[in-house]
Amino acid sequence: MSEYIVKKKVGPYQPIEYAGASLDFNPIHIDPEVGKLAGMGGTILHGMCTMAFVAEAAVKLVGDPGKLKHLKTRFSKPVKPGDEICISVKNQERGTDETRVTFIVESGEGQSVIKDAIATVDNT
Amino acid sequence: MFDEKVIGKRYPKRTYEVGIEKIREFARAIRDENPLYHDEEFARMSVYGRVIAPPTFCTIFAIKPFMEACLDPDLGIDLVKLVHAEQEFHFHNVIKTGDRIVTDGWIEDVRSRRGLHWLVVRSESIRETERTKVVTGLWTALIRD
Repeated sequence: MSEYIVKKKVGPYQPIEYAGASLDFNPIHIDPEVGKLAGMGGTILHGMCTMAFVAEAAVKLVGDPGKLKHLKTRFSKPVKPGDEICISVKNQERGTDETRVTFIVESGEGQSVIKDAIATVDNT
Repeated sequence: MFDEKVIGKRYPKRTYEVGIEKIREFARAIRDENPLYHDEEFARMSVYGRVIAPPTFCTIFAIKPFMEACLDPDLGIDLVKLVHAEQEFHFHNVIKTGDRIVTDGWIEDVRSRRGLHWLVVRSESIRETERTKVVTGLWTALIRD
């Protein structure tokens, strides 16, 4: 249960790097002053980057990126540079063709950063 | 806050061509070392035959209709009050180097409750030549009064 599939330390400039890679230049991710104005105390990581970590966890579980059919995430708490994101499996419901996997996605202090992180993967 | 008439509003179709260095750059940014996303030789020996993209690479092109909706004067959203609240993807086909992908998108839903407003945009991305589905996205923004 508590075994982490994916563990990521968010680097100080990772939101900037992800902004360049994803072409999402929302200033809240790159300008600490904008992050402070929004009450975040500095920049925050893109929710989509945290979702990418969950997708990686799902792919690691099944071995093949092509088996990931569906992924849903609800962003519940901003992720900041310096945070460590730990992803583990909460439960798996195996159906005939597909398995529904629910993940726990927490920052280092044990706070949930994504609620309802649910993946559907092919059984074949 | 939102007029329900905006439901169904479409945004311009856009085409994106998937390049190998962009895949590598994206995979590096998310710290994903899966060789299928980096190593041409490894990928050539796999069932895919060439370098493929991590699942959420689709964000690069599939987010466009959502971004356009968030900036749409018809919706009049104050971006400071907006957060990306939920995200859902249906992955139909793996994205490969060289794919040309067309993304279409429209407002799926708007709703309000007790000073909170939700905007849901749907994106449909397909391969330009074969017309096969690549990914469906449901993008949910939450806006406070």
